Amino acid sequence: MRDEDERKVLEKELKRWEETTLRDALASHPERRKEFVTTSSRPVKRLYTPLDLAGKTDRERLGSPGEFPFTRGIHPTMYRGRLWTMRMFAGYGSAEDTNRRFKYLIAHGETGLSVAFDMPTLYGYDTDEHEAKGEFGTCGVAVSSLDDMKILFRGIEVGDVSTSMTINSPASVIWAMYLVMAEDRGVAWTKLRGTIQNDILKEYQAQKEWIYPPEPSMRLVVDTFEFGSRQVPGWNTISISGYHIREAGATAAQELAFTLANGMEYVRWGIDRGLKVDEFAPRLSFFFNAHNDLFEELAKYRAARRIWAREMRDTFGAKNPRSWLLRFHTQTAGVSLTAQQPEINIVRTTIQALAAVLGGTQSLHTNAYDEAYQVPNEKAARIALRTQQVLAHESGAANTVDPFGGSYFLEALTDELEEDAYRTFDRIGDLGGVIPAIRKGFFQQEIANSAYRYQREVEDKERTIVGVNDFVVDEQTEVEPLRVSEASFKAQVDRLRKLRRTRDAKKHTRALDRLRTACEGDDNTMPFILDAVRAKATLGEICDVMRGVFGVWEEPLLY
Amino acid sequence: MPAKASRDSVEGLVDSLLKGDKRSAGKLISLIEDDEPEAVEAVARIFPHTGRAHVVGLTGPPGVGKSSLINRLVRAFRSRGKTVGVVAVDPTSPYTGGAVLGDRIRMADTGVDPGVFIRSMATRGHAGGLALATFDAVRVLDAMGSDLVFVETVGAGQSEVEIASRAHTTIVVEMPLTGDVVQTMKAGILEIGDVYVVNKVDLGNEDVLVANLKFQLETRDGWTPPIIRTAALEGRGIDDLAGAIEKHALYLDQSGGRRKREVARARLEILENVQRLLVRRVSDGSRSGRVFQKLAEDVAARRLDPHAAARKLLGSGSTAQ
Amino acid sequence: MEVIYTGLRQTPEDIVEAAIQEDVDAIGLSSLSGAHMTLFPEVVRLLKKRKSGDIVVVGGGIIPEDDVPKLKRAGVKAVFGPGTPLSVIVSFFEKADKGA
Repeated sequence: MRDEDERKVLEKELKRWEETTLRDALASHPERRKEFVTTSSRPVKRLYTPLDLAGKTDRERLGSPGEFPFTRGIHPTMYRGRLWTMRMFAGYGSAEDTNRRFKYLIAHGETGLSVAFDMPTLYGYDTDEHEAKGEFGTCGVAVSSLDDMKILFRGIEVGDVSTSMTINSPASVIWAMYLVMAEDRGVAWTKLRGTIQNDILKEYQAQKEWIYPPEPSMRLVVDTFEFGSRQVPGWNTISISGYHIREAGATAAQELAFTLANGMEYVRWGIDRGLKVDEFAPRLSFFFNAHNDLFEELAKYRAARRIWAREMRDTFGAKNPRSWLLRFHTQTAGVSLTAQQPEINIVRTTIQALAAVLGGTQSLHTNAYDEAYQVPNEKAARIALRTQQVLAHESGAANTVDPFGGSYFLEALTDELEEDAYRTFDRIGDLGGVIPAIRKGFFQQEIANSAYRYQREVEDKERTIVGVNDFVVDEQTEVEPLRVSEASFKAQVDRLRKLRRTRDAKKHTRALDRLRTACEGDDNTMPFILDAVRAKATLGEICDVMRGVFGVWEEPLLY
Repeated sequence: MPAKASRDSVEGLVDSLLKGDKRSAGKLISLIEDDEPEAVEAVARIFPHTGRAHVVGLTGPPGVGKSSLINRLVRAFRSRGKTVGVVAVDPTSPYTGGAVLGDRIRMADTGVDPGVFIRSMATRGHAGGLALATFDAVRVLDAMGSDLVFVETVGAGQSEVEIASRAHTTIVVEMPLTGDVVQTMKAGILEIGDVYVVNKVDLGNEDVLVANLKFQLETRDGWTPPIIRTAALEGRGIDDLAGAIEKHALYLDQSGGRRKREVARARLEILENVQRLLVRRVSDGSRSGRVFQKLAEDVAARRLDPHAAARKLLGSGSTAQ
Repeated sequence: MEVIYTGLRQTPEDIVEAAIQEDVDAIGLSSLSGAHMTLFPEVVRLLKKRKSGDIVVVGGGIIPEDDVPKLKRAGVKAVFGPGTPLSVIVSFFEKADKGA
């Protein structure tokens, strides 16, 4: 009753303001445009008031930090306890080159490692295969064998540092190399912490670095869930990624909805395998994009936490509160970086990183300003890291939990994105679920449509991109190029050939034969992959066995 | 774009084509596709060297998996030592007049094989109609020495019938519908196929479709169309399908059906060319064009009925020669 | 204009073969991974080997400014680096068409 009265008072007050102060102001100073929209073309109202939050109480909507539904954050104290992990994505050239970069970043205050692999590695080919021609080490490090993995982490305490590896279709193979590397150094698997991205669904939808068809790929993913929960309990066996969906051109709402739909699909597959949800759900982690529109991004992270907690608890019946937590890594939006006046990218990245911090991220990568051109050079990478350090220590953003919580605009936007996500879940359901929707090209088409609309808005100058379609200067851009040396390539190929020459051929063949049999049957593939790695089988050889059994994915075509 | 091929002599191109040169094949098909004046000469020079290839038409609704099937079939016949050509017809966008010819992507892994030639064609307004251009392109691949030529079109409008009347073997591709729906066949589809494929059997429910087809298909001239279940993406059922094609080819040879089909096709093509020539003759500023215009005015003024006008036009056409 | 889209992850051999069979006027190559210095000239070389050097090859993607002259020397007719407006690409092809 009291609420009802209050609402009437507010409505009356708003109406009064609109008919007096606002009307006069508009009459003398019209607004700059008819409609204001977010980066994702979502309309934004002139003013948000408590009226926009009607229907739900703060308790339902927000809860308290560290409690269901975790809208305000997964920890009660957030960054007052511990800052986010500053984790810079790095990798180029050979294992030696990248090992040097890791040490450089650690020396400058980075607190977690993140490995970028080169294209052949991402596609499951060795450096010396025909398919790998010209691609060695250009956009990440080449890891073709256990020997490369050992060099990559030489001199780094793998029992102390957490390591994230952006690898998907060949994730279980690369993870096995990491595990055997640790084993050989006498570090117990229970001491290891880190993440493999291992999110194959978004590959079909956006990133396109797939190898096998969806079903066998999902089986490999669930194999890692099962194996990890039993043998490597501190490892996140997946990082369910909206990042690439967004980079391919999706809106914030699509990024949110598709990512969570994928997350729920992994949970279903885990349960179908016979795993208990609380056995593996605490090791599911997420990875989101941070784009330019501060509030929209903030709302996205908060809505994501709320939806995930509810779905895990109520739909999947998880009892362990750790299963309800949506823990996520954030990377600033690579797609927002411009080749023109690249220094401006430092400013964009700062705003994006701020959104991630205000949104309660667990770890963060900030892009370097030269990344429209190349894998960052040392100086650019250092500035990117420094950006995080300024946010952490100078901006004050880390001093309080969920600083924008309660903002009428932010809370309304959070609710809106949440409602959008549920509508999208229904559409995916109508198509028969995530994998049938991939086969029908649903995600791919939705993303393409958004990307096209955005690009049209930029080309038509409906949307201003500073330095690109306005505030343009005519200058030659100077970016200090980073080159992968021919010597690194030669060293890598020599190492690979030596490995093939010197390994125990019988042991190697037997291990691959047993892996093949395991792939053809129903056994968990992880122990067999580990044995193949121990027998010095290369990434390309292991993936070839799987290609032979599982076949390769052919994508549905769209126009 | 101006036809690049016109810079090369048609004779030279055809000579190289007969030696198996793919670049010449590509250029000759462009001449035909763009309906260049040289195309007539090209087809005339090529024609005596054709008739060796077995032409297989595939038709079926969009998304049914025709390209993936062809991809698998190409591999199957390559491993049997045959050279293979493919002509894939893509719909031109009605909005931009352009086309994104995407079928190649599904056939990508067979594209570098020296014994394979794949060509996409757009269904834009070719004066002779889709079928005429497509099957002239088939002749180029035939003359180049392809043992088999596959023609893929989207089953829309009359194209199925056009394919069936020209291919030696017509394959109709269907897929089981998901969910609880009654699947009906497009009218006429039961009369044209020599082989029926139920693709994507992994989607389930195919038994209903197969039973439905089996119930309705009839034996024609001693050939009962087989129904083959496939899952093209996984490669299942492809050997059965390749076997069915070979069996049908053998049936055509032994029953005299091949000759019958060739004659029927020749009749059709002569008539099509007559129509094409006639249209060309009456639409320019020639005497026949003026006669045509006069006849049209007479019909419009109800001085003449269209049938009588047609008879007069044909009469004048012959006297005009 | 017709576009033959060959899909992702094509080798230079795949691309050249498709270009010849489809009798195209131009090939547009895109590389974001940094492999352009190897792959783009390889396409040009294979085209010449197949007596199809008249097919125009253009490139785009993440190409450092320093590499552009080298690619042009290798026979790549134009390079559209990051941030190239669509209109620049369209006018290149219009000019190429008139020149043909």
